[in-house]
Amino acid sequence: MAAEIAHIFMTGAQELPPHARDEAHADRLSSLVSLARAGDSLAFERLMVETERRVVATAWRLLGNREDARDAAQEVYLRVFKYMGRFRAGEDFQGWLYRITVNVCHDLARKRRAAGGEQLDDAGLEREERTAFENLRRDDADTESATLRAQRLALVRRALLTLPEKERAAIVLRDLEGLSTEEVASALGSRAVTVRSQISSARAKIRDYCERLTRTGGTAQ
Amino acid sequence: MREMNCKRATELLPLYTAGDLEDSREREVAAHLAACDGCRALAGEFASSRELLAEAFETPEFGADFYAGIRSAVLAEIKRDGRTPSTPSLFATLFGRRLIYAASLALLLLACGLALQHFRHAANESQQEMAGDRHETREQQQPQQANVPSPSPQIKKQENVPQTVLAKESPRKRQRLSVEPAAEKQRVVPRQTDSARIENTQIATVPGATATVGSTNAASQSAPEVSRIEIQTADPNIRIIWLTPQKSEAPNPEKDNHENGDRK
Repeated sequence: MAAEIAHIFMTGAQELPPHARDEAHADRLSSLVSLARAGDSLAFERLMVETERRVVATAWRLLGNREDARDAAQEVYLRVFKYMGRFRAGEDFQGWLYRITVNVCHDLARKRRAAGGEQLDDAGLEREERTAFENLRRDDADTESATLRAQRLALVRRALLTLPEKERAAIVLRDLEGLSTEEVASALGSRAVTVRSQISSARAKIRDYCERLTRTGGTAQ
Repeated sequence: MREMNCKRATELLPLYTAGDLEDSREREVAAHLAACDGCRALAGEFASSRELLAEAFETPEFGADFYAGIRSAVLAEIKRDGRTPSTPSLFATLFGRRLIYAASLALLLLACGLALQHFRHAANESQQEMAGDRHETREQQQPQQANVPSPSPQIKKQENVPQTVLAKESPRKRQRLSVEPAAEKQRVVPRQTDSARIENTQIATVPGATATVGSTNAASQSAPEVSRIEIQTADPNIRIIWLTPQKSEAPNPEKDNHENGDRK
């Protein structure tokens, strides 16, 4: 079994063109799913290693803070394990994983709202802003411009988090995760034309927000 | 190529900047931008806002411990609950979820259809029964009317509900019979299909039975002898007693039996 997994990873490590690499990656994930479904816990762990960065990044972009992203990722993998038997061979595992991630994030956001917490977590945003500022100060000699830039980025994050749930999911998957419109539609369980409309609306709102930000010198609310 | 106005171009710009338009539309927007400074500036704003968004949401580096923590928490949870991956049923594997929904819907519709058909059939049967009962009642009334000289309305009413019948019925039914004699008479006539359940039939000629039937002395004295036919149905509460006036000649049991059979 371990030799089989090692073979899978050795195949993935080979230098391949991007398209072939994507296909090889998909094949590798399918093989890991098959092994994990047969009860191989090591294969399931490898499956997590292969996909966790993408899951955490998506959850962080949808929820806006690190703690919620961690909780969401844990729940995503518990659901993957639970429903792995329903995953059909030949299906796109990445798409399936995105679908679960988006659903988990929506559930978590609703739970937070129901519990009285704000979906737009100000404390989390401030923390992110501070971290971004610290990073920028290290790179930029000009502290003032670094501060301004950090503020602008934090405000853009805030702008994304104020979008309606479906628009946010569509723009995160399309513009930040780099999925095609059809892949986004598949992950969100809607039609491509609907996704295109949601993306268009979300981009227009983000652009309006950024425009206001530019006019007010980075302090727009 | 058709000329595109600024309004339409503005609507399409969010999709144009990320290459989400069809080729023909993309060419139309590009042609418009080449000629329109305002829309070109707007396209630039869309492009820079996308860049800013991408920069704001660059994947942060959470560190190896962060990911290791997620993995160990998940594995611990799985181990603690003793979870196993769910295995789909053979039916689900073969046909998929959508087909299961379709099959369930078809079964539901079929069940509804069968239930509807059943109710319609039951309604038809009851209508036929009612029609049959009316027909039988009419057949009963016709020979009576032919043989018996029509008594006064009061006596006729009494004949429909003989006192002997009332005495043998339950108090509740007795009350009903006395209130609705004609309707009750129709109800107690056994159906053709119930003939097999008739347990006991007594045929007797009761001379002077009119004394128990009629309440008016004058009427009873002038009434002829009465044949009494009792039919016990399967239901112990229902006994049919048929009193018919006899002609002057001697009673013919075969004829009575025949009539009795006809009534069933």
